[in-house]
Amino acid sequence: MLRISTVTLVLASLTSAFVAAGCGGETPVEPGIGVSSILFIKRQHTVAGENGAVSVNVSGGNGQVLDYERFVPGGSLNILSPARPDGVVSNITQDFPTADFNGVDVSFDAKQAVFSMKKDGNDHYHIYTAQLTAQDGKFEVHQRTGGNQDDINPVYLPGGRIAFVTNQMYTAMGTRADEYEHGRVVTQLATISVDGGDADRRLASQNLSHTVAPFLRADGKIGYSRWEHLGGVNDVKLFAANPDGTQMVAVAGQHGKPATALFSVRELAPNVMVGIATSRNRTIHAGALVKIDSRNTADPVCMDAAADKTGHACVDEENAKFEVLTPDVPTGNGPSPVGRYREPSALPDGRLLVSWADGPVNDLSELSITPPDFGIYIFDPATKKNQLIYNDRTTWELNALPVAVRKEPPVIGDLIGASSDTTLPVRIGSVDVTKTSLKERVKGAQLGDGMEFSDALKQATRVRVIEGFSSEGAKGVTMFGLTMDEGAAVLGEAQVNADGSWLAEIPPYIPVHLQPIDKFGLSLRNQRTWIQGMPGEDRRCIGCHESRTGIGANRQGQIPTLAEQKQAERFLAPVADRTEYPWSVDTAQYPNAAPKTVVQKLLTDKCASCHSGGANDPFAGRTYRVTRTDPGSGAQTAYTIPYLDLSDRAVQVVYDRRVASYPASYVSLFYPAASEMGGRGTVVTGEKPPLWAIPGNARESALIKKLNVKAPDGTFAYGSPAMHPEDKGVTLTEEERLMLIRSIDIGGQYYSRQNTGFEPFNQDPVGAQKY
Amino acid sequence: MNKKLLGVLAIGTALFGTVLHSEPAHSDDSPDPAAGTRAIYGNIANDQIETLSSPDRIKSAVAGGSMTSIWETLEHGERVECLDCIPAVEPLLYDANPQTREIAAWWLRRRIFGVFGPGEAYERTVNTLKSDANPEKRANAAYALGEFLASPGVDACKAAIETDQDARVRAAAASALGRLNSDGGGALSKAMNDGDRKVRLAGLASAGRVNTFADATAVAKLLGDGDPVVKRNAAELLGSLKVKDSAAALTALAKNDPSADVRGSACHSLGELRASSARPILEDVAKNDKDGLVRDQAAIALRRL
Repeated sequence: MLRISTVTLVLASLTSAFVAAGCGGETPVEPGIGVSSILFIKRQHTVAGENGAVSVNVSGGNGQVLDYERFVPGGSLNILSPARPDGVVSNITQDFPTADFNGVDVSFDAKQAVFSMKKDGNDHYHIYTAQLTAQDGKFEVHQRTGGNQDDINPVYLPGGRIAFVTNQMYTAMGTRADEYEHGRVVTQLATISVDGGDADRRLASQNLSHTVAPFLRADGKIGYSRWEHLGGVNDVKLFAANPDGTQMVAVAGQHGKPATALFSVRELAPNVMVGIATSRNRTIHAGALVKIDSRNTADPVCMDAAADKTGHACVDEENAKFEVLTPDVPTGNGPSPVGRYREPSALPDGRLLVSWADGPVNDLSELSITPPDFGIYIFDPATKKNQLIYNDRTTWELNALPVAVRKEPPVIGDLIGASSDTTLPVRIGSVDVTKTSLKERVKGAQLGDGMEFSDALKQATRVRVIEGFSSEGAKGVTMFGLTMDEGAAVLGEAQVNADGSWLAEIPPYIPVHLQPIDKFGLSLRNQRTWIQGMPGEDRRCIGCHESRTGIGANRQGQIPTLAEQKQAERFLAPVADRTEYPWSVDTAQYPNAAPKTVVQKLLTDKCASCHSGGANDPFAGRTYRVTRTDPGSGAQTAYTIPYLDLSDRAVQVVYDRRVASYPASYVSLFYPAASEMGGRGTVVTGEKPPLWAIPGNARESALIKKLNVKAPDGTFAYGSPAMHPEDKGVTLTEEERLMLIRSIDIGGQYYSRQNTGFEPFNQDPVGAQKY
Repeated sequence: MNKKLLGVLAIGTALFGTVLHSEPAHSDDSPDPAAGTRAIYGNIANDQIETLSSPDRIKSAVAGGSMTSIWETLEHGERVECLDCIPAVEPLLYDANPQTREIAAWWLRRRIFGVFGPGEAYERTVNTLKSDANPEKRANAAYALGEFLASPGVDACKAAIETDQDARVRAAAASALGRLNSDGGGALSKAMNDGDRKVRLAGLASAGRVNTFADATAVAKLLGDGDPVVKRNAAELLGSLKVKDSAAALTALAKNDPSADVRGSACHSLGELRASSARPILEDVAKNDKDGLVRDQAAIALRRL
């Protein structure tokens, strides 16, 4: 195996050497690449500090593909004309010698560029435009956005608009760190007009994680990469939305992809794209070139690039195909034997304009004394070879684009007007929730060892709408408990009608995910993509992930569904009145917290008398221990976790930043699952209990199985009519049972807004005032 | 010739390293490091699931010293309860690389055990900020407290802003309050009144991130600051905070400030405020300012009135 690997690597190194020869400019550029000029940015990486010390900044602020805060002064926006190694490079931004740049695009008429620039270290990235023809040796530059937010990755839209991403704050939660609280501020889609700049600024709805690298699609929509973190999901996929932020749809990566991140994408033809496939982190925004085909192959119109696709469902993200064009480049974050690519764009002849750097282009680059050297190349998909266009060894040359006239896609009219009421609700729902293309099995409770999801959906009686919020919504909270899940509130549970339809109105802007639930209130599946809506938007689907090819699916608007006839259910409670499931309240830390319900109160009232170590406790005295040995002193500290203790007594260990201040119930219920997720190697002694509570999956949680659930029709979720604690003479109301089910199903969070003294941000006029 | 030979050896070493790295990334602990997450979260594709580190991997990454390897390993170690790792990670709070410091604090603050108890890592960090002789270490401790996002850090940073003799420490403490989403009971306002521009800038930056910050007066005072960067950022913040009372002062800056950056930011904020009283000045600036970017900002502001 080692021999094979070595041979492979030797071949790869030969390829690399050949390419390196090309990099040195020894291979002349073929004539006629189809464009006369190339626009690109230079970014610095090696600077001398105030004390004269030279520092190489390779991946700082670039660690993840979503990061944008890497500022090194000395960058520039440039045009190379003619587009060959001996062409003349003109610095368009020579008046800004301490600037850094973060994205660029060429206008449809090829006369103007839009770019993101930060003039100095204390400035922010803002959007600028520049004319591409110099007057008296100077290029005319205009500033289009300002303020104390970063606006990056601009692209031209049809109709004289520019799309970009921004970390501008505007929600009721004020500023938004991402759900990881990872020291960065999330970026969301925004648009301005070319002429009006900020005067025409419009913001799209928010996500809990970053939206980056927008690109223009042939249908006029904005494509973009989005960091998806929802429970155990953590990757970067492609989505698209109308320029007014409405009609967000999945494009690729939701059902498989060759890497954890799809990034820096450009469309080659309708729903056919080229981009970078790479690890979400450690590769300096670089990776393998990948061709992505999300066309609906079942519809011939969608396969014809020139055909009018109006009225055709041409995006089939479920069956997207991926072709890695550079198979020698790793799609993970290990060192590459042949370098890595960034920011591909198409040339008229089908070849790709790329940035490429030789070397490992990952953390090994950090250890070398010289950074990876990104230059501009033409990559030929047929020969898999790079051809040097331009390389300045003192800087990175990035975001290369051909300066060429291109077709302007049609303007998508606003569904939501610029002056619309920003407090209007969003309508979400399904025509028939039982329609699905997902080939999964669901198990637990009445579904036994497993049932096809499509069959299980026939048991859906309601759809739970769950709002997600970041730790910005819960003051002082770093994580929401012992799970990977974000802050959550149940906006409501909409009834599924006899025809499978449901319909609800929810607040605009906020991210939600859905759970079809059965008659027992148990989730049948946990949607793992955040969806959002703009004010007044209609976001109804056909089913619960219906077939993207349109085969076998109902259509909207043919006949009013029963849900439409009944009018939408309204899940529009203000933030303070939403249904949350805080576990407990620390009144010392949060004196103003006044949650409507508290899980611990139920457990104390109904459960703790038998499950707190007393004479009636079947698990009395049973614990397991986590032991720490200080390698320095050898001293050991042991922490004791109860097998099952549902009281609110403080566990005598350090627990999530506080000493003895959390109830034993939460630890004993969720720690088994938490340690399962990442506890290998933890020094645990004693008998670990079953997975009492599995975040997002009440159905398979041992606690719920023990309790059992009785539906209104008299049937029982787990077959037997035996119910607990009723078998011990204690009765749980239906609502109390549902509280435990929902608490687990929405992610098992300890914290919510209600037990952390949430304070709305009241200074911003956008929609939040109402909700 | 020797250089070429060294180059060949270097390539060979790199390739051998590549072979080593071509082994499964997490083979040191488990053939499928995502198995635990999958066991809990169910049917998530491999390309979407969070890959997990292991205790041994964390310790070896820290010992190896590769920055991005540390970043990745710690981030993927979010759920790894490794008490033995804490003494290895804690020194990274004082690493020369700010991102390493950040990720170290991020990982530590997610620990269920071993960090926030008496005498443990968090308390040691508070004490470092309070009393370490090395100002750089105190500054890093302040940054770490911001990343820990725990409320005791507010008081510690407030005290640093008020009493520490080193401007680097005060600036770091002001930045940390931004991460803590707290104005520090007036400490951010004090930072804005500091004699050192870095502290004032840090205070301004944090004020823009704290969703309950309300001391517009402290920000407005900085419109008269001697440092143009401070003035520019104060002007921007007043627009973001929608402080309508600042329109007159911003109008004066838009017209008269010698710095184009300040004039441009003042124009932008006047647009944010929809300050119709500024229309005549904005019209004049849009037409006559000597700097094109200022004219742009004035023209955009006019469209917002």
